Amino acid sequence: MNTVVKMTRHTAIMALTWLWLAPAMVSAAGLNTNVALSPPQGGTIIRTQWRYTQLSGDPTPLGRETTINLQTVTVVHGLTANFTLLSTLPIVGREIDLAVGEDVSDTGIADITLLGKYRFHQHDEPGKTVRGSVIAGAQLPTFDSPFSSNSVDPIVGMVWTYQQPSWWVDWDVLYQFNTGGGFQGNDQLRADVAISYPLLGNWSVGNDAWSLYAIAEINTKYLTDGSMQVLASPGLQLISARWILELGIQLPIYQNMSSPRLETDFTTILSLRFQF
Amino acid sequence: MLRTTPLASLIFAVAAISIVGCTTTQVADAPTPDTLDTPAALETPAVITIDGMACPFCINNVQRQLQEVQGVLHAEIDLQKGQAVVTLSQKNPPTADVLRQAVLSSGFTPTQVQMP
Repeated sequence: MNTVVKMTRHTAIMALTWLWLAPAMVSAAGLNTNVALSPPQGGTIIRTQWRYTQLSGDPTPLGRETTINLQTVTVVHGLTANFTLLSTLPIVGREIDLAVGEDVSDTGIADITLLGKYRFHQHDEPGKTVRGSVIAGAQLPTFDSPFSSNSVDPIVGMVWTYQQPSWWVDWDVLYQFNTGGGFQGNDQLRADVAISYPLLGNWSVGNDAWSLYAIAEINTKYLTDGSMQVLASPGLQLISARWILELGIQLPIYQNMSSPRLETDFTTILSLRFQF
Repeated sequence: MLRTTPLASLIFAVAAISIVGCTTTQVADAPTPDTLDTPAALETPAVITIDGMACPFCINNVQRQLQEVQGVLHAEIDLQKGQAVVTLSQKNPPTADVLRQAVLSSGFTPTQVQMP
């Protein structure tokens, strides 16, 4: 019986860890996304983000209640006007409170994402733009168990952006192949749509003009073990010519998680971007 | 609330401080006649009409690319008008094609370049 509990506990912890590294995977624009970021040729955007996630609803006898503190640093560099390189480094801290057995508390560095984005479509009009890009790359293992998949996991996808001064929308779809298998999780399909619109516009602070935007996102995730989540992310973006400060919260709308995965209660998000 | 390791906090803090530190970088101020080391400017600026600019972040992209062009003293971006007003040096000012290419490198579409 003790052996069964140990095996179940280990499986549950590994499954939990992999799913909740998923936000570290680079995807499109908005609070939970990076891929629509487009610096100019030779330009660089750095984004640091802190995410605090609470999970519960353990389907196993372990009675897990978990918090995950995820800190990411993303660097986006424009090699040309149409080709961008993106890289994300995730640092994970987690606490798992167990009803059976010893609680788990650990930190580590999850797998690093490295992507290339090529813009194949651009249609500009006065004050408007429509852009489409394809994305390809991989998550590279850090071998920091249990936060690493220990495998090179390819990622492919696409991102579209429509922008005008009164609002803009970003849409992306990404597929990650998990070549590690086993405890490392399943292939993941995710799709995100983010809509942003100005609440207050163009007041001056020093040499910069600032605007306050509201953002609303829907984030969907599907794993090939049948797990599925639909999450809503409302938030605020304080935007200047070189800065964006972002605050938000991610809440579940629908969840159907395959055992032993936990369900998300909520995620709080704080993010800072700077372009130079 | 979780406690993270000192390493994690250090990496996050370094990234945040790097961002804050970079804010001290100022774009070039508009030249004045009293600035001894600044080349004299052409009286009339170049005006570039640009399509595709739709967000405040776009301003920095275009401004940065234009101000890196040799012979450009200052670039001011008007998001509402969709224009860049570019102050040019009297000595070796750039051509319209060079300015046009700088806008293209920023990721936007120049539709008209009015040179002085």
